[in-house]
Amino acid sequence: MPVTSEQVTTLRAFLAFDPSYERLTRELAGSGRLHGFGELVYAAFVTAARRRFGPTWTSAQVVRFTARARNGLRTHGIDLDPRATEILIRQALGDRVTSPYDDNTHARVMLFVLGELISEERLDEASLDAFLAKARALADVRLSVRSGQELLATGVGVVCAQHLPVGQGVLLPGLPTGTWQ
Amino acid sequence: MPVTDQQVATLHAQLAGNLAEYESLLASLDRKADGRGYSALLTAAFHNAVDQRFTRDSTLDEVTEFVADVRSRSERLRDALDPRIAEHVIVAAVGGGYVHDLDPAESNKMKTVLLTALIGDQHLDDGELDEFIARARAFADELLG
Repeated sequence: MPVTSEQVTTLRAFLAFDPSYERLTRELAGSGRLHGFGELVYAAFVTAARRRFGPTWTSAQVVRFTARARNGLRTHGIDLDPRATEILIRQALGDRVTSPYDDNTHARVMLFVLGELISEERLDEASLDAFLAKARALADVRLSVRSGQELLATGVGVVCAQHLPVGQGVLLPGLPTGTWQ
Repeated sequence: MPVTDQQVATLHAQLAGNLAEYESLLASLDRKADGRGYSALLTAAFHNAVDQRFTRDSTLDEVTEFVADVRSRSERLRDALDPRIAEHVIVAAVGGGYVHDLDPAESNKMKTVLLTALIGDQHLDDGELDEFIARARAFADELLG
Protein backbone atom coordinates (compact mmCIF):
# COMPACT_ATOMS: atom_id res chain seq x y z
CA MET A 1 0.00 0.00 0.00
CA PRO A 2 1.53 3.34 -1.02
CA VAL A 3 1.98 6.41 1.13
CA THR A 4 -1.30 8.24 1.64
CA SER A 5 -2.04 11.94 1.27
CA GLU A 6 -2.98 11.99 4.94
CA GLN A 7 0.53 10.79 5.86
CA VAL A 8 2.13 13.43 3.65
CA THR A 9 -0.08 16.10 5.23
CA THR A 10 1.00 14.92 8.68
CA LEU A 11 4.71 15.07 7.88
CA ARG A 12 4.21 18.41 6.16
CA ALA A 13 2.62 19.80 9.30
CA PHE A 14 5.59 18.63 11.34
CA LEU A 15 8.13 20.16 8.96
CA ALA A 16 6.16 23.41 8.69
CA PHE A 17 6.00 23.74 12.50
CA ASP A 18 2.23 23.45 12.32
CA PRO A 19 0.80 22.54 15.74
CA SER A 20 -1.81 20.37 14.03
CA TYR A 21 0.96 17.79 13.64
CA GLU A 22 0.23 16.20 17.00
CA ARG A 23 -3.49 15.83 16.28
CA LEU A 24 -2.83 14.49 12.79
CA THR A 25 -0.34 11.93 14.10
CA ARG A 26 -2.73 10.80 16.81
CA GLU A 27 -5.46 10.36 14.20
CA LEU A 28 -3.12 8.39 11.95
CA ALA A 29 -2.07 6.07 14.74
CA GLY A 30 -5.49 5.76 16.30
CA SER A 31 -7.12 4.74 13.06
CA GLY A 32 -4.48 2.20 12.10
CA ARG A 33 -3.46 4.22 9.05
CA LEU A 34 0.16 4.68 10.11
CA HIS A 35 1.68 2.02 7.87
CA GLY A 36 3.91 3.75 5.34
CA PHE A 37 4.50 6.84 7.48
CA GLY A 38 7.82 5.51 8.77
CA GLU A 39 8.89 4.82 5.20
CA LEU A 40 7.91 8.36 4.23
CA VAL A 41 10.01 9.79 7.07
CA TYR A 42 12.94 7.60 6.06
CA ALA A 43 12.67 8.65 2.40
CA ALA A 44 12.43 12.31 3.39
CA PHE A 45 15.43 11.95 5.70
CA VAL A 46 17.57 10.36 2.98
CA THR A 47 16.47 12.90 0.39
CA ALA A 48 17.17 15.84 2.70
CA ALA A 49 20.53 14.44 3.83
CA ARG A 50 21.71 13.93 0.25
CA ARG A 51 20.63 17.44 -0.68
CA ARG A 52 22.41 18.90 2.33
CA PHE A 53 25.73 17.08 1.97
CA GLY A 54 25.96 16.23 -1.72
CA PRO A 55 28.03 13.44 -3.24
CA THR A 56 31.36 14.83 -2.01
CA TRP A 57 30.41 14.72 1.67
CA THR A 58 33.07 14.12 4.28
CA SER A 59 32.99 12.50 7.68
CA ALA A 60 34.08 15.83 9.21
CA GLN A 61 31.03 17.59 7.74
CA VAL A 62 28.73 14.97 9.25
CA VAL A 63 30.39 15.27 12.67
CA ARG A 64 30.11 19.06 12.68
CA PHE A 65 26.52 19.06 11.42
CA THR A 66 25.57 16.55 14.12
CA ALA A 67 27.05 18.76 16.82
CA ARG A 68 25.15 21.79 15.54
CA ALA A 69 21.91 19.82 15.30
CA ARG A 70 22.34 18.53 18.84
CA ASN A 71 22.98 22.03 20.11
CA GLY A 72 19.90 23.34 18.30
CA LEU A 73 17.66 20.55 19.56
CA ARG A 74 19.00 20.73 23.10
CA THR A 75 17.23 24.06 23.53
CA HIS A 76 13.97 22.15 23.00
CA GLY A 77 14.89 19.55 25.59
CA ILE A 78 15.78 16.98 22.93
CA ASP A 79 19.02 15.06 23.43
CA LEU A 80 20.02 13.22 20.26
CA ASP A 81 22.52 10.39 20.42
CA PRO A 82 25.48 11.79 18.45
CA ARG A 83 26.90 8.50 17.25
CA ALA A 84 23.51 7.21 16.12
CA THR A 85 22.94 10.49 14.31
CA GLU A 86 26.28 10.35 12.51
CA ILE A 87 25.77 6.70 11.54
CA LEU A 88 22.29 7.28 10.13
CA ILE A 89 23.40 10.31 8.14
CA ARG A 90 26.37 8.39 6.75
CA GLN A 91 24.09 5.48 5.86
CA ALA A 92 21.75 7.91 4.09
CA LEU A 93 24.74 9.20 2.13
CA GLY A 94 25.65 5.70 1.00
CA ASP A 95 28.27 4.69 3.57
CA ARG A 96 28.04 1.00 4.39
CA VAL A 97 28.38 1.53 8.13
CA THR A 98 26.18 -0.64 10.34
CA SER A 99 24.15 0.71 13.22
CA PRO A 100 23.99 -0.99 16.60
CA TYR A 101 21.04 1.16 17.63
CA ASP A 102 17.40 0.09 17.90
CA ASP A 103 14.47 1.16 15.75
CA ASN A 104 13.20 3.66 18.29
CA THR A 105 16.55 5.46 18.28
CA HIS A 106 16.61 5.37 14.48
CA ALA A 107 13.12 6.84 14.24
CA ARG A 108 13.83 9.55 16.77
CA VAL A 109 17.08 10.56 15.06
CA MET A 110 15.59 10.55 11.58
CA LEU A 111 12.58 12.64 12.50
CA PHE A 112 14.44 15.29 14.46
CA VAL A 113 17.41 15.49 12.09
CA LEU A 114 14.97 15.74 9.18
CA GLY A 115 13.42 18.70 10.98
CA GLU A 116 16.83 20.31 11.34
CA LEU A 117 17.75 19.68 7.70
CA ILE A 118 14.51 21.18 6.42
CA SER A 119 14.72 24.06 8.85
CA GLU A 120 18.19 24.89 7.47
CA GLU A 121 16.84 24.95 3.92
CA ARG A 122 14.14 27.55 4.77
CA LEU A 123 11.90 26.18 2.05
CA ASP A 124 8.88 28.14 0.86
CA GLU A 125 5.49 26.41 0.57
CA ALA A 126 5.98 25.26 -3.01
CA SER A 127 9.51 23.98 -2.34
CA LEU A 128 8.33 22.03 0.70
CA ASP A 129 5.56 20.47 -1.37
CA ALA A 130 8.07 19.55 -4.08
CA PHE A 131 10.39 18.05 -1.49
CA LEU A 132 7.59 15.96 0.02
CA ALA A 133 6.47 14.80 -3.43
CA LYS A 134 9.97 13.54 -4.09
CA ALA A 135 10.15 11.80 -0.72
CA ARG A 136 6.72 10.27 -1.26
CA ALA A 137 7.75 8.86 -4.62
CA LEU A 138 10.86 7.29 -3.10
CA ALA A 139 8.86 5.88 -0.20
CA ASP A 140 6.32 4.37 -2.60
CA VAL A 141 9.06 2.62 -4.53
CA ARG A 142 10.53 1.23 -1.32
CA LEU A 143 7.12 0.14 -0.06
CA SER A 144 6.31 -1.64 -3.30
CA VAL A 145 9.64 -3.47 -3.26
CA ARG A 146 9.18 -4.38 0.40
CA SER A 147 5.64 -5.56 -0.20
CA GLY A 148 6.79 -7.74 -3.07
CA GLN A 149 9.57 -9.21 -0.98
CA GLU A 150 7.17 -10.03 1.81
CA LEU A 151 4.76 -11.67 -0.58
CA LEU A 152 7.53 -13.87 -1.92
CA ALA A 153 8.89 -14.61 1.52
CA THR A 154 5.66 -15.49 3.27
CA GLY A 155 3.39 -16.49 0.46
CA VAL A 156 0.76 -14.37 2.09
CA GLY A 157 -0.30 -11.06 0.63
CA VAL A 158 -0.77 -9.43 3.99
CA VAL A 159 1.67 -6.99 5.51
CA CYS A 160 1.34 -7.65 9.18
CA ALA A 161 1.49 -5.02 11.83
CA GLN A 162 4.87 -6.17 13.06
CA HIS A 163 6.32 -5.40 9.65
CA LEU A 164 5.58 -1.74 9.97
CA PRO A 165 8.71 0.24 9.26
CA VAL A 166 10.63 2.05 11.90
CA GLY A 167 9.16 5.08 13.49
CA GLN A 168 5.58 4.37 14.28
CA GLY A 169 6.14 3.66 17.93
CA VAL A 170 7.92 6.85 18.78
CA LEU A 171 6.46 9.43 16.48
CA LEU A 172 3.63 10.20 18.81
CA PRO A 173 4.76 11.27 22.23
CA GLY A 174 6.82 14.26 23.11
CA LEU A 175 7.19 15.86 19.72
CA PRO A 176 7.60 19.61 19.81
CA THR A 177 4.73 21.67 18.53
CA GLY A 178 6.69 24.91 18.34
CA THR A 179 9.41 25.99 16.00
CA TRP A 180 12.80 24.39 15.68
CA GLN A 181 14.72 27.59 16.12
CA MET B 1 56.08 9.47 45.37
CA PRO B 2 56.22 12.61 43.20
CA VAL B 3 56.12 12.72 39.41
CA THR B 4 59.38 11.49 37.86
CA ASP B 5 61.47 13.06 35.11
CA GLN B 6 60.73 10.10 32.88
CA GLN B 7 56.98 10.58 33.29
CA VAL B 8 57.41 14.26 32.43
CA ALA B 9 59.52 13.38 29.40
CA THR B 10 56.80 11.01 28.22
CA LEU B 11 54.09 13.65 28.43
CA HIS B 12 56.39 16.20 26.81
CA ALA B 13 57.04 13.90 23.87
CA GLN B 14 53.32 13.34 23.45
CA LEU B 15 52.41 17.01 23.52
CA ALA B 16 55.33 17.98 21.31
CA GLY B 17 54.07 15.52 18.72
CA ASN B 18 57.12 13.26 18.87
CA LEU B 19 55.13 10.09 18.44
CA ALA B 20 58.00 7.60 18.18
CA GLU B 21 59.71 9.04 21.25
CA TYR B 22 56.40 9.11 23.12
CA GLU B 23 55.64 5.47 22.34
CA SER B 24 59.15 4.43 23.33
CA LEU B 25 59.03 6.33 26.62
CA LEU B 26 55.50 5.16 27.37
CA ALA B 27 56.55 1.54 26.80
CA SER B 28 59.46 2.00 29.19
CA LEU B 29 57.21 3.17 32.01
CA ASP B 30 56.49 0.53 34.62
CA ARG B 31 52.75 -0.04 34.73
CA LYS B 32 52.77 -0.53 38.48
CA ALA B 33 55.44 1.93 39.62
CA ASP B 34 54.62 4.72 37.17
CA GLY B 35 50.88 4.23 36.75
CA ARG B 36 49.74 6.50 39.57
CA GLY B 37 52.26 9.24 38.89
CA TYR B 38 51.72 9.35 35.15
CA SER B 39 47.95 9.28 35.57
CA ALA B 40 48.20 12.20 38.03
CA LEU B 41 50.41 14.13 35.59
CA LEU B 42 48.00 13.50 32.74
CA THR B 43 45.02 14.51 34.86
CA ALA B 44 46.75 17.68 36.07
CA ALA B 45 47.76 18.66 32.55
CA PHE B 46 44.27 17.93 31.26
CA HIS B 47 42.61 20.06 33.94
CA ASN B 48 45.02 22.95 33.32
CA ALA B 49 44.45 22.75 29.57
CA VAL B 50 40.66 22.63 30.02
CA ASP B 51 40.88 25.67 32.31
CA GLN B 52 42.75 27.55 29.59
CA ARG B 53 40.11 26.68 26.97
CA PHE B 54 36.88 26.82 28.99
CA THR B 55 35.51 28.72 31.95
CA ARG B 56 32.58 28.12 34.26
CA ASP B 57 30.64 30.47 31.97
CA SER B 58 31.25 28.18 28.99
CA THR B 59 28.15 26.45 27.68
CA LEU B 60 27.54 22.83 26.89
CA ASP B 61 27.10 23.93 23.27
CA GLU B 62 30.70 25.19 23.25
CA VAL B 63 31.92 21.88 24.65
CA THR B 64 29.90 19.97 22.06
CA GLU B 65 31.37 22.10 19.27
CA PHE B 66 34.91 21.63 20.56
CA VAL B 67 34.54 17.84 20.75
CA ALA B 68 33.04 17.80 17.27
CA ASP B 69 35.93 19.92 16.02
CA VAL B 70 38.45 17.44 17.43
CA ARG B 71 36.53 14.44 16.09
CA SER B 72 36.26 16.02 12.66
CA ARG B 73 40.06 16.14 12.30
CA SER B 74 40.35 12.47 11.34
CA GLU B 75 38.29 9.30 11.20
CA ARG B 76 40.62 7.79 13.80
CA LEU B 77 39.77 10.60 16.22
CA ARG B 78 36.10 10.37 15.30
CA ASP B 79 36.03 6.70 16.26
CA ALA B 80 38.31 7.07 19.30
CA LEU B 81 36.21 9.71 21.00
CA ASP B 82 32.68 8.94 22.07
CA PRO B 83 31.21 12.45 21.92
CA ARG B 84 28.96 12.13 24.93
CA ILE B 85 31.74 10.71 27.13
CA ALA B 86 34.24 13.30 25.90
CA GLU B 87 31.79 16.11 26.63
CA HIS B 88 31.09 14.64 30.05
CA VAL B 89 34.82 14.45 30.87
CA ILE B 90 35.36 18.09 29.86
CA VAL B 91 32.28 19.39 31.68
CA ALA B 92 33.39 17.54 34.81
CA ALA B 93 36.88 19.02 34.52
CA VAL B 94 35.51 22.55 34.11
CA GLY B 95 33.69 22.04 37.38
CA GLY B 96 36.86 20.79 39.03
CA GLY B 97 35.65 17.22 39.20
CA TYR B 98 35.88 13.98 37.34
CA VAL B 99 33.52 11.38 35.91
CA HIS B 100 33.01 8.86 38.68
CA ASP B 101 31.51 6.04 36.65
CA LEU B 102 34.09 6.04 33.85
CA ASP B 103 36.58 3.20 33.53
CA PRO B 104 40.06 4.59 34.43
CA ALA B 105 41.59 3.29 31.21
CA GLU B 106 38.84 4.94 29.14
CA SER B 107 39.18 8.10 31.19
CA ASN B 108 42.94 8.27 30.55
CA LYS B 109 42.39 7.63 26.86
CA MET B 110 39.87 10.48 26.67
CA LYS B 111 42.16 12.83 28.55
CA THR B 112 45.15 11.92 26.39
CA VAL B 113 43.32 12.58 23.12
CA LEU B 114 41.59 15.74 24.34
CA LEU B 115 44.72 17.11 25.99
CA THR B 116 46.71 16.63 22.80
CA ALA B 117 44.04 18.53 20.88
CA LEU B 118 43.77 21.30 23.48
CA ILE B 119 47.53 21.85 23.52
CA GLY B 120 47.83 21.49 19.74
CA ASP B 121 45.31 24.29 19.33
CA GLN B 122 47.47 26.60 21.45
CA HIS B 123 50.52 26.29 19.13
CA LEU B 124 52.92 26.61 22.07
CA ASP B 125 56.62 27.17 21.42
CA ASP B 126 59.21 25.04 23.25
CA GLY B 127 59.45 27.39 26.20
CA GLU B 128 55.68 27.66 26.61
CA LEU B 129 55.29 23.90 26.44
CA ASP B 130 57.99 23.46 29.09
CA GLU B 131 56.18 25.99 31.27
CA PHE B 132 52.84 24.26 30.77
CA ILE B 133 54.30 20.90 31.74
CA ALA B 134 56.12 22.35 34.75
CA ARG B 135 52.83 23.71 36.06
CA ALA B 136 51.13 20.39 35.42
CA ARG B 137 53.91 18.60 37.26
CA ALA B 138 53.55 20.88 40.27
CA PHE B 139 49.77 20.32 40.28
CA ALA B 140 50.24 16.56 39.92
CA ASP B 141 52.66 16.51 42.85
CA GLU B 142 49.98 18.25 44.91
CA LEU B 143 47.48 15.59 43.87
CA LEU B 144 49.92 12.83 44.79
CA GLY B 145 50.90 14.46 48.06
